[in-house]
Amino acid sequence: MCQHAGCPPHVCFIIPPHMMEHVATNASDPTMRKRALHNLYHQGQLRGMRASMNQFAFAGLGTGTKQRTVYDAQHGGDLPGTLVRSEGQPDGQDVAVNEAYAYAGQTYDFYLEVMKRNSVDDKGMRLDSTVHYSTDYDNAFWNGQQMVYGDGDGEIFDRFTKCLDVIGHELTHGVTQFTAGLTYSSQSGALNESFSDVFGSLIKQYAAGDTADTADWLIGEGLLIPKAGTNRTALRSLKAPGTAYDDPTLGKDPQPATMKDYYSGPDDNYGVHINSGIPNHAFYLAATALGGQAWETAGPIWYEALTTRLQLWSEFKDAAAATRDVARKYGDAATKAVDDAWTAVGL
Amino acid sequence: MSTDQTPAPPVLIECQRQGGMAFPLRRPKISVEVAGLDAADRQALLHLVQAADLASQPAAFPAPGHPDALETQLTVAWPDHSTTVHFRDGDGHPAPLDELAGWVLRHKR
Ligand SMILES: [Zn+2]
Ligand SMILES: [Zn+2]
Repeated sequence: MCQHAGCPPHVCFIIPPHMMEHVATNASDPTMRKRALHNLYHQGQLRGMRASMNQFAFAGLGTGTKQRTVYDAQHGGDLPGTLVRSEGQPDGQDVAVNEAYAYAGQTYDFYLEVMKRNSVDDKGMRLDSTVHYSTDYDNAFWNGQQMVYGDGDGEIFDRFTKCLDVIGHELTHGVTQFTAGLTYSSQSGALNESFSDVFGSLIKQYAAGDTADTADWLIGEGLLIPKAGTNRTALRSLKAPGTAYDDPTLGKDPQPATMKDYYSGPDDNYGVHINSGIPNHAFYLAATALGGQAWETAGPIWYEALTTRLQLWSEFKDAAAATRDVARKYGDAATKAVDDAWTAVGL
Repeated sequence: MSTDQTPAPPVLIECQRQGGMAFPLRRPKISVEVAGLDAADRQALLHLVQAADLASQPAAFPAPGHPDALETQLTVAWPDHSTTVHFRDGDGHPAPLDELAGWVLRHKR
């Protein structure tokens, strides 16, 4: 049984892959870790992954040793696909490969330089990406072990490697998996999504040298292919949730900014990409109230809450309480900025 | 009555997607009526339906809960019955299900 704190026993009996990986890394009992790793390996095989244990990315690399690999699924569904680029190799002709490699590197650099974190697992885990997944595929996802990117459909969506914040979003799902866990449903799932958007945005702001005032606070700006007479600005807006797009094909951005408009339907795993607008907006409000660069104070407060305070079933009120508490370490201005931000969104 | 040994062809294929990092809300259901297809398209679709083999698939694959996984619901209707399967990214579903879903979605654009 799982030994570590914050992990309800009944959860660890079910053990979906993302939790198994958590066990593989965090369990105090070496036998438990080994068994979890073994199970993951077999699940990987079941899911059509290349059956060789050395493909597994938990390499235990030293701090600052960046290891990236990019695979090409050649429009099929098998993961990881054919290895096309390893760490240190130069850019090639394939723009999706170049972007997946470069943006994974910028995400790694952000976590190391700003949060002092050594890759997504804080143990130097290799960053594996697969590009050209499936055909006309409008998505990017984190499968518990690696990032997967589609090329888009060429009509509504461009390729999903295009935006640094989208890649930062996916890798942050890895960070969450190895820390708070945040079950991917309802409020814990919306928090999981929100941390991915918050750090995705911070990674983009850090690379651009933005201040909280000059940042666009958009996720996936440029991913939607423009069309006359429609709003296809981005996937989400932390500044103004619900305004990122409005289009006959896509519908209107459904994100609420406050608890007043909380979505309680069953779609989207009970609204994980919808209600994430609420904590997203709280972060935006806190960061802009503090001013300066958002990764300097607001970012570390959220990071400490994610990595040390929250757990599998945390809800919005828990995230609000945790960040309010951590903010006290940063002085009166931070305490007030964070408190006001959550109050403004109804928490 | 037909003397042909091959089973009756499907009459309707429906596909609906939701979720993923870009699509929180359920997207419109896309339907393709087999009768409306030209011979080449119909042939291509019948091959894909055969390869997808819906009758042998579970109604839903166990969802591993990967962040941002896209969820697809695929229905094939024959004259006297229909079969629906649900699958998500990374749940181990066979690739021909993706190929059939992709064809239906592309065909309607
Ligand atoms: Zn555990
Ligand atoms: Zn996500």
